[in-house]
Amino acid sequence: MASELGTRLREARTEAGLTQAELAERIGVSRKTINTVENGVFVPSTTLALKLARALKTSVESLFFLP
Amino acid sequence: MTDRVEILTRRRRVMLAIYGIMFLAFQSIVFTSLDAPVSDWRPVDWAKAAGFVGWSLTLIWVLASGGLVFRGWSPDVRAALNDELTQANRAFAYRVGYWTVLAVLMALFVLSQFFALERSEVLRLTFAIAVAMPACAFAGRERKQSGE
Repeated sequence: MASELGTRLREARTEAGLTQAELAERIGVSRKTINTVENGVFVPSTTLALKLARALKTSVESLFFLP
Repeated sequence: MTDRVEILTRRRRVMLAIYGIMFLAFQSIVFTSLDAPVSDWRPVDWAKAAGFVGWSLTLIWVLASGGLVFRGWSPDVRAALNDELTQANRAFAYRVGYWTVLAVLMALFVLSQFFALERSEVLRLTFAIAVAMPACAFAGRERKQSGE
């Protein structure tokens, strides 16, 4: 399942100048959750994807894509 | 906050793994002395049985409650301790428990065709695995994701 979803979360986070811990704190999840999403281990729910997009001031489509 | 969450997550994971394995290892020792009818139990047997039930409930509660076990922490910390990934890991752990119990019951059914199995033995084994396996599976999954 996880391999079916591509992500640019790491790039977007780095561009925003945030660490995994800072992003995690902003959206109320653990740093491990951010790490697993970035590595494609965990597919986030729609809610979490929207929170990530909002925290990074971008759209969900620019963070996640189908390969 | 993130540091606190990581410390508590690790503590929860280690606790579930150690207590889950110990639960499996010790349950036969505890129960061997409880084979006598309840009417013949001594106070120490009641204490052992109560300890076993308490241990079981603690493991189930820690696994099922997520961050609720750390009630003293702030709402943000508790939310992060029971976030989406934790819930997914818990669902995975329950699935592992379900399939393991099913496999054990099938194996016991086959064994029962060749050996006489005590009802209490079957219940003991099934219950112990149903409690310990999800706890260990959850801990293992979290450990793997932590990269340790």
